Amino acid sequence: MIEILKNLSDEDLVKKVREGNDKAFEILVKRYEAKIYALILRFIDNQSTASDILQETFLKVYRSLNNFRGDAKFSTWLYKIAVNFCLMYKRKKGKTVSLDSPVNSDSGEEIKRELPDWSITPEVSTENIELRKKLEGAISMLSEEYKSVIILHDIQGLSNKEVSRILNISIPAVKSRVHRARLFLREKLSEYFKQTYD
Amino acid sequence: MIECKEICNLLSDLIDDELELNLEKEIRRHIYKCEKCSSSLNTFTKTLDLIHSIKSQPIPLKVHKKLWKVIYIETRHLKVKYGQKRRSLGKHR
Repeated sequence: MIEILKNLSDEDLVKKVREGNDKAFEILVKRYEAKIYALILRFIDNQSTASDILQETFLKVYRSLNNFRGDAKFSTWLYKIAVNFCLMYKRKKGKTVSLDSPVNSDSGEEIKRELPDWSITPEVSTENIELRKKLEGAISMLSEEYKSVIILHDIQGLSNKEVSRILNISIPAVKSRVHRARLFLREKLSEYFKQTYD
Repeated sequence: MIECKEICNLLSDLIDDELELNLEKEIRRHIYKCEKCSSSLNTFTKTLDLIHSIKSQPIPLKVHKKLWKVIYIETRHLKVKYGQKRRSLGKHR
């Protein structure tokens, strides 16, 4: 029975849950728990709180399945619930950095907006721990509106349309924010390369 | 003639393959000749490669167990409260 359920689409599993099949819900949770936890952790950066929000998200999904109209994918709806919980939590906490603000180095100096040549630098990969840390730090500096598009679009790999539905913004707004966030991240990484290889 | 500043604004569209063919060709011709834009595309691509290389970590066992405990309690609780079928659940809550 479980093996058959595992092969069903998200939307078919939702139908099964509505008919009272909780095993189908378990399959949905198994399918998304790691992705949703990773998503939440990027927003919240605290394991304990992220764990609580993960639980809230799936409870809300389970309790609201009858409200899921199916005009968007189940995964889009699930992401939207998780992101809304994260943003609500962050709003209570405050603190974001606007991309319109000048970019400052760790020592407080404003970064010159020039482009270094990275051709002499080592291969960019996750093995480069220092660079990875720099990127993580830069992502955490983004304001929520930019951070959310980078997480959903570039890290989670969702389409512009999906991100647009999750965040309730237009597709051109998604594309614009993704681009500005990428430029910001490049600038932060440029600083690292300049410091290391000058 | 396309300007360097315009190309900077279109780097994401170029990498995400969202440009019309003629515009893409024009941009690529410019980049081929312009050292500044070539460097700009290079650093932009490397940044994106790095972002894309971020993989989701496995969910910690403790977090997984807590989640499943909560789900187990919730699903049993709702069944006891509203019966086996949950079709009309939304109306009750």
